[in-house]
Amino acid sequence: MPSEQGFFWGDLGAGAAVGAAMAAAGHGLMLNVSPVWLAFLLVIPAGALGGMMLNMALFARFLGGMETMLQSWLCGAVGALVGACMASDGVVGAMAAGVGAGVAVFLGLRLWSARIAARARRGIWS
Amino acid sequence: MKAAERARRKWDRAALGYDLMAGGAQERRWEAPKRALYRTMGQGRILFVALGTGLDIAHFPPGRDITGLDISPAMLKRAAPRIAAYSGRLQARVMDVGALDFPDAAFDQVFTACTFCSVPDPVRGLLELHRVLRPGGTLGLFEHTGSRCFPFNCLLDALTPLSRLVGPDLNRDTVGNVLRAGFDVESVEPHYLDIVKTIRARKPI
Repeated sequence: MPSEQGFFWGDLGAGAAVGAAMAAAGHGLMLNVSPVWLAFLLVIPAGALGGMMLNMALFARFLGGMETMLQSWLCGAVGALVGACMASDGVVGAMAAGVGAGVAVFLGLRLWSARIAARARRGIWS
Repeated sequence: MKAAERARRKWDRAALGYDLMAGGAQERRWEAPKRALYRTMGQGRILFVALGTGLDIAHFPPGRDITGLDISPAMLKRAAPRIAAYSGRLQARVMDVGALDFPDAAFDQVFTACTFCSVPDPVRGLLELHRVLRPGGTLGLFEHTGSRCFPFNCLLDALTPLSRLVGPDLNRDTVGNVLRAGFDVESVEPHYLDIVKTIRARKPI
């Protein structure tokens, strides 16, 4: 049975993987779709949707689907945007940046979650 | 067709694959906060709303006097072995939380998990729980709710029409609904962002 720590590392790994995969997709979208403004318009919703689908297909069984949905949506969207912005650096560079984006989103959500929990402990919940 | 009948049919359909959907990682992830909530079950009369296939029974403390209910007969049929294995008094009844067949103040405590994201009229259901709970009695909920964070709530609003087809709404204001039903909210403990939380409330004396 995964412990709370197991879920922490699982969520982190899933965020990084989704970020990397959607960065590759964003990179590909940027190279193959023109004009550029159309590619940028597509990249965020496509990344969000792709991230969610990837999460549901690969990670939800181990980490819970509903619980990781928001994270995968954000990691996918931000990863795809980062990948699109790194179109000139090659797909490996884009994917590395996507890993960073996924980890950053994960850490941002964790920090925000901790802040909400701290406020609730002080009786602030509305 | 009435909302309650639609809900019964939906959950009857979901019963077959429910353990597969909710009994894996989701159940393990939230086991600790659920156990912490159920540890507050006392020795009085306890109502557990939405027993489902009985996944939560393993987390109940032993030796309690619990009445479990669910709107879906198919769910309770699947729960039967878990109900039989509980080392206490646990009886299950098919009932809609919006129309409870219990007298006023019949219970000392009410518990439920992941229920008021799915009940068609949550305030009506919570008003019924308020009625059957004795004055001073406690309500403990573990729930998925909407978020106070605007972009997240936009996403939850957008996804709710889809999620509703197979199960819960993702954007309910359950803390607000508990207050609207006349309870005093004693604590809200978020477990994941602002969307998964334990809510503890009390019926005023």
